[in-house]
Amino acid sequence: MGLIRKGDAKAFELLIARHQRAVYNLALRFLNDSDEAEDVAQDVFIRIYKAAATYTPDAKFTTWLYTIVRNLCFNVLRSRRQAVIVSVDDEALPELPAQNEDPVKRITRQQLRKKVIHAVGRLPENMRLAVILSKYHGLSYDEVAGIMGCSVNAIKLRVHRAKALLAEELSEFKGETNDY
Amino acid sequence: MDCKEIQDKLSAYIDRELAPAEEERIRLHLDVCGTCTARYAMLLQAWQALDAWQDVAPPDRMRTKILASVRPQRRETRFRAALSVAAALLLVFGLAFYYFGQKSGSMQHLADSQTPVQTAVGDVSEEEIMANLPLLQEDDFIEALDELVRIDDLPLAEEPSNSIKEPERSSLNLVVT
Repeated sequence: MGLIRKGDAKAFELLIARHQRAVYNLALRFLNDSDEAEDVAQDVFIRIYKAAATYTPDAKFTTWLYTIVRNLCFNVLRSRRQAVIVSVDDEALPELPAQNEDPVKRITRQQLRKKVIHAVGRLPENMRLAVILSKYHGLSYDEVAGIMGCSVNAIKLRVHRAKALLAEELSEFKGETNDY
Repeated sequence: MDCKEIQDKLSAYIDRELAPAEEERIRLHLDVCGTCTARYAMLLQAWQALDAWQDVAPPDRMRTKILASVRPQRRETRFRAALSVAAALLLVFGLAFYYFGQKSGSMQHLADSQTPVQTAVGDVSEEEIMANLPLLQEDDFIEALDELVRIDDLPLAEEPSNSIKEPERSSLNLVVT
């Protein structure tokens, strides 16, 4: 960030290269819309660039980064509510089939993926974000609490309840989930 | 710990968020409790099922768009810096002009204030004007006035002579005005 503050374009490009995948996937899983996720991700990096001059490393960089993603995602959800647009499942996500994969297994895997997207999408917003940050970004409850601005116990409870809800939603795939 | 307590902590146990001693207690309980083990297996499977939703690569255009968005910002920053310098220079020159303008103005004012004509005019009272009204209406006085206007250098810097009568001095001042 220090180099970006000094106007080092290469440093900014490196920062994008390092974090764009995580930022994009966090927004994508939370919003379940690839266009909105792309817009959020772009906005995140533009805001980082603009904030470089005033950035003070009070917390871990990724905590700050994910907090920006979280705020922008919630802005999108607010806009959606105002526009009364119902979130559409983003089924057009590109996914390449694994080579030499058993077709039956592949279909099951695709069905499971769809079911997971649906189940995660049905979680309440705060629970969903806690699950995504914890599961897909490997953050500790403490870090998730920092990003979401709540207590560690609240995160513990949200993730616990989310696991119970997901277990009910995904019960039909029992025994097929260990392959992933 | 009873089954209720254990089950409340199973999620944190899966996420390795418990202290080692607590983790050990749960492990020991799961070894002997079928209900809690079934519950644990269900939660674990659901959590593992989420792996089916794998990361996707962000579109290539995203990086290009971000860099394109901040480029005008860079130019704008440079422009703003140049604008600040220009504004500062303008301010300096403006202040300099104002300062020297004031100075020459005050010098002019000083020079003007030393002209006795204005001092004399400023001293003319309304009563004096009224007293000299008949004189102003005389033809001889008007002619004398014309003569005076044609003279370039009036000896006004001199103190009024005592020999001049009071009404005459006042009329002289009025003429210059």
